[in-house]
Amino acid sequence: MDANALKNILKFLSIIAIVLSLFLGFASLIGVIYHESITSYLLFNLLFLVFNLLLYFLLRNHPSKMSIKEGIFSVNLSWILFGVVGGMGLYLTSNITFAQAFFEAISGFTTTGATIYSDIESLTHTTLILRSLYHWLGGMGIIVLGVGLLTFINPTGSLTLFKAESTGVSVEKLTPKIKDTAMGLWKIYMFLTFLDFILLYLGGMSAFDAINHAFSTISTGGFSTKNNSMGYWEQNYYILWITTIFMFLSGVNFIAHLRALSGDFKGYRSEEVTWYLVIFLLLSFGLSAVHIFIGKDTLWHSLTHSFFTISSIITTTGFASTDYGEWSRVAIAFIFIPMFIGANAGSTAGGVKVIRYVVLFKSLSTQFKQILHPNALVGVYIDGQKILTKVLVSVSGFFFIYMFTTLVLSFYLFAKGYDYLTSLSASIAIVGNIGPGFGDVGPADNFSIFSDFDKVLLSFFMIIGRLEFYTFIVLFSREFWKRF
Amino acid sequence: MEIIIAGAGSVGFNLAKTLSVKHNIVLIDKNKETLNRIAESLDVMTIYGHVENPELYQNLLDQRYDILIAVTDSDEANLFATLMADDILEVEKKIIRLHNTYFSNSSISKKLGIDEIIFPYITTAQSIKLLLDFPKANNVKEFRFIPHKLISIYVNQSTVSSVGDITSEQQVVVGIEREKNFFIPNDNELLEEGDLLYLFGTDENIYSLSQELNQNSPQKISKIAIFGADKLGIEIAKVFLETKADVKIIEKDTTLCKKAIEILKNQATVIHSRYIADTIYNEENIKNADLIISTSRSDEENIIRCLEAKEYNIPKTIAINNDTNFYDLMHKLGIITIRGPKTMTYYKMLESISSNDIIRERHYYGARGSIFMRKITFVSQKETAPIEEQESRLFLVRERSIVPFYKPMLLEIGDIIILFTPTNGAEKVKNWMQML
Repeated sequence: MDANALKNILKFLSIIAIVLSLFLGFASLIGVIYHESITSYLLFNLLFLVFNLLLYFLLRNHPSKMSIKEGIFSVNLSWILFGVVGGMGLYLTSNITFAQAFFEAISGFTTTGATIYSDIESLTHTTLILRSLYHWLGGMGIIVLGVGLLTFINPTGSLTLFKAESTGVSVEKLTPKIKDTAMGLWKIYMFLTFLDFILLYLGGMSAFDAINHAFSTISTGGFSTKNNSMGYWEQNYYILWITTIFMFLSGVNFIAHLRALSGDFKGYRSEEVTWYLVIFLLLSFGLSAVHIFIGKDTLWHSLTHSFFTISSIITTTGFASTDYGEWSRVAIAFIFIPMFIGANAGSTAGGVKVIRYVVLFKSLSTQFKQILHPNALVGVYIDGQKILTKVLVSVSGFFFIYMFTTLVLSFYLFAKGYDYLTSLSASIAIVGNIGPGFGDVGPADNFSIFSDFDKVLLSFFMIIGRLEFYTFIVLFSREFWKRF
Repeated sequence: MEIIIAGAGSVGFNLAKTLSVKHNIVLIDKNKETLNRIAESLDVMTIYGHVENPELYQNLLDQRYDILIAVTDSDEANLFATLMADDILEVEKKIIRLHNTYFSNSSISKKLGIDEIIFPYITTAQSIKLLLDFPKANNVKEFRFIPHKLISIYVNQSTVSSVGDITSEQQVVVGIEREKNFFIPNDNELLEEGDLLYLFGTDENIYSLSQELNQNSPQKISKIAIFGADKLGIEIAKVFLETKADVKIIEKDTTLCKKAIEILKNQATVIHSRYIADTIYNEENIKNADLIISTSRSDEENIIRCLEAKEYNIPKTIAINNDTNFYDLMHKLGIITIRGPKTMTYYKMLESISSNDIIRERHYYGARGSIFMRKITFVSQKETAPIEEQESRLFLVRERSIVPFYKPMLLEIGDIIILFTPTNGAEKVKNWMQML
């Protein structure tokens, strides 16, 4: 790595850091409003801002021309930076070790929502808003925001950065310039957050709870301000349904929302969104049935909690309205399915994502067709577009590496002495950025049981899942570090 | 600006690449794989389909566009694209490329409201023809509004000592390449042997000066050998035949040979031969040529032909440059390069896009130097101050005289302000000129 590359990366990081610290200033504001002692946090934030302003000032005349490698490297570094800086924020405002803070921050930025705090309600407002803010910044991607804001990054650079952080099988653009699309996505994101906030507030949440939950819902994160998560509002069906709907909406490809904004609703009729809706409805009604027949609950109660739970899991949010781990084994099996599916590509959700399943199943069926008609010309078509072989290979590769990573992590946890249900569900929940799993990490428990080392390890698995494997794992390929 | 480019061939791709840095580009092509590859590397919007298809434009309706560029391989498609643009979209300016030269004499461009048509073969051939008037020059450029020309010549006879000595109201030095470096000199700069000099001035003056500075090149070009008999080779041959020069064409493909004889009505000698240097130069007497032009579409081949010709002491050799990436290498090897049809189209389009109603923009020295021109159409009561730029040279062309513009002057209607500047950082001076 030569001086030029180093300068490119530092300049980029300094700007991302400046944007980050400005947002974190918002959390300080909450601290000031609630008269909390946040002097050390304020000082840290200020120092961090000044340091980065200085760094940017020194590099202001350096022409940024990022190569693909530098782009990928920068994105990974930014995510580690989020963990460290975000961790510092939590470390300075609450009583935890730095490893715990790092885990919590990464869990926030990756919108996983797994927490190490046992008593959330005892936390200061500053800590709570920080956690939600991490979700919100990480959900749409602070780098995507960066791509939108930073006009100086050369076109290839911004494409690489955008691709590295956004999720899905291909980059979809509605405008010639990626930065305009990026800004459009952020606008939709802000709009949904605001709408959710208003509706939650009207439903009886305090303004502070409403803003936290809006951040956490739209980013499909899952941090709550209550020990019982959304279970605190167990009796307020309005809030549960509003959250269910907004979680579902946040799991839809944001490009479809963006198109809808200009009056084009075709985005919602794409195969991916259709399948997402079908799977969501099937699983929700299925779980309701389990609930009614095995749990002997009333119809409305079962429907509310089942829709909420499936919406929360399929969008990898991880809110819990009740301890669904206790519903029955059939229910657990039912909830495992959406954990493996995930929502739409281009949304804020994690997981494998519906589009990949659509591609894989369609490619399977074309293979059947090929076996029966060896001379037929077959291809995989989605929404009338032919899927390129390159994409098929990348989707299969993704599926493989997803399952492989999850398995490896669950074997590791199993070897560490956790039971099989905890090991498997925790690794799915971590890699898929869901949050709670079953067993010791169920909706009523938290991740404080793991050792500090394991917490840091799990944090990296969260980043791997958030960046959809390739961006992170490519760092470990020999090709990446080769000079020639 | 919002720009639509129809055709993602090498010209379309390179235009998209260059223009996408500042402008919003929509790129249309009928080759899906090419488009996918481009979408991976360039920040542009790609649309797959035939440019003649009206349905293609449905997604582009909610926007007005500044420029439509049509550079597909098919002339018909390019013409049709302009029709579509008029019919469906709102496009300010239309620039297209046409291969077939018979369109050049028709009024089709007026009828279709096309702002500029680029005929790459004719333009390339014309730029070679200009060399006949300046046999010593490597390159000759003409300008709009003024009769002056810009030529580049090698200095191999040092009768003058400094740039100031050859600067007059009729001629000025606006660039020097010395030891692979390009700069815009001031009057104190001393000339050295081997310098590549860029001279701007009136025909007679720069002609006699070029005779003085360069003694090696032929005095007159009358015997020309052209390698390659495809479209470009034939266009070049036509231009030279008009001047009653002796033209020989060497081509390895029989069909092309026959076609060439037919088109050129047997006025040129067409030799069918594989390129074996010894045969061509000795048996076919090409060794006595004044000028050799290699017109292949492959730059590698053109470079080899020209190096070969140098071995046989041909006084002047020209290589057609098809790929801008080869320009530097050709230049370093001391080969005179003329932009081929594709690069010509690329640069012409860029110049046309960056020029507006007020300022004309041109490039020289492989686009490392920029020329900005503005015709004064207003009467100003007070003196205009020139921009202070170390590396640039600013002149006023009034009637036929070139006046250095270094102190505040009263501008008159009909004056042309002309500025020579390195392309890096040209934005600032362009803005200054725009604001006048």
